[in-house]
Amino acid sequence: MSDRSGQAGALNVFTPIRPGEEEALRRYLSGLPRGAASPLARSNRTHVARWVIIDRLPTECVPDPDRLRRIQLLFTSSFDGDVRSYLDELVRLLTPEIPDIWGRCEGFPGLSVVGALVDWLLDHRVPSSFFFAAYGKTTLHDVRNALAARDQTIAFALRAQDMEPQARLDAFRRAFP
Amino acid sequence: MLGRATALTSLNTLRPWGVPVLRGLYFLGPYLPFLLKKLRQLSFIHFARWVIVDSLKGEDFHHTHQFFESNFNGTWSQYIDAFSYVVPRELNAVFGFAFGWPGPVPAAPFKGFIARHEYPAAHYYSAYPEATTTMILSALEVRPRLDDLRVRARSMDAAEFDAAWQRFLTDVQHHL
Repeated sequence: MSDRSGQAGALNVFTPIRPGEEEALRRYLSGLPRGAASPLARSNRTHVARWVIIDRLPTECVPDPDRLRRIQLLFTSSFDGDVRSYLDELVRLLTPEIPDIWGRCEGFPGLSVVGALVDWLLDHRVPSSFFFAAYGKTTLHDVRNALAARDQTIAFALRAQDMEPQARLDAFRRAFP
Repeated sequence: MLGRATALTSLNTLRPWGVPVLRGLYFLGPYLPFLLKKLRQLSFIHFARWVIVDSLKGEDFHHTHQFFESNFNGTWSQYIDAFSYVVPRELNAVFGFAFGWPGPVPAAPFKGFIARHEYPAAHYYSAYPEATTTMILSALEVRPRLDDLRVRARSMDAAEFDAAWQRFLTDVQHHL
C-alpha cells in the first residue's frame, strides 16, 4: 500500500449516501463555489481534491457484476503531511458545509464529539495501491512561493533588459529584498 | 476542468487472476525507476493514484475493482492520446486485467473504455488551477537559484551583479 509520495499524502474515503439524499447531495456539491472560493481553498495543505458520486459499478463484459447497495460518496485528496492532522484541520475548516455533505451519509457521527468525524472518515478510508506525485517532496506553501518567484523573475527580466547596470542592481534589490 | 486542471476518475472491475499480479506490480512500483520515469515523461500529470478496492463498508463484493484517479493539465482527449501512445505497455500492465479492456492502441476504443468507466466530479478543487506541472517543476528549479542570487546581490557592485544576472538568466532560461 502506498498513500505517500515524498511528503505528499493520498486520501480516498468512500461513504454510503442515505437513500433518497443522492440528488440533493449532487446538487449541493455541484453548486459549491469553485476555484479560490471553494470551501477546500480554506485548507493550506490541499493540492487537489474532489467529491464524486459513485452511483454504479462497472457492468461491461463483467460476468455477474457487483451491484452497490448504497450509492457512495467518494472524497479524495492529495495533501501535505500526515493524514490525521490533515483531517482534523479539514473538518474544522469545512464545519459549515459538512452537515450538507457527509451529513447525508449513513453513520455520520455529527460534529459535536471532537475527533469522532475524523475517526469515521478514517474508518471509511481505502488505501491507495500506487500513488504518484510529480513534486511530492514540495508542500503547497512552497509550490505557491516557487510559482510566485518564477513569475516575479520573468517580470523583472522583461523590465530590466534595457536598464543600466546600476539601475538594474538597484531595481533587483528592491524587487527581491 | 478548472483552469488548466482536469480531473479524471474511473472505476473498473478486475479479472480475478489479475488481482495478485497488480498487487505485486503496485508493491514494486516505487522501486522500479523506469516506471516513475515513464510517469514523469507524461509531464502533464500532477498527481495520480491506483486503488485496488476489495470491499467497502456495508457492501458485499464478489469482484475486486480498481479505482483510478488523475489530476492533469490539458484536455481529456490530449491526456488519453498521450497515455495511449507514450506508455502503451504500462497501460496494458495496469488496465489489462480489467473486464472489457480493449488495449491501449488505437486510441479510439481506449477512449471509449475510459469514458464508459468514468465518473464526473461533483466538485473539483485545485490549489493552482492555472499552473501546469511543467511550470511548477520549472519554478522549483528557479526558486533556489533566485534565492542564491538575492543573497549574493546584497554585497555586489553593479558590474559584478551584471555578470551574475547574465549567468543566472542563462542558467534558468529554459525554466522561464
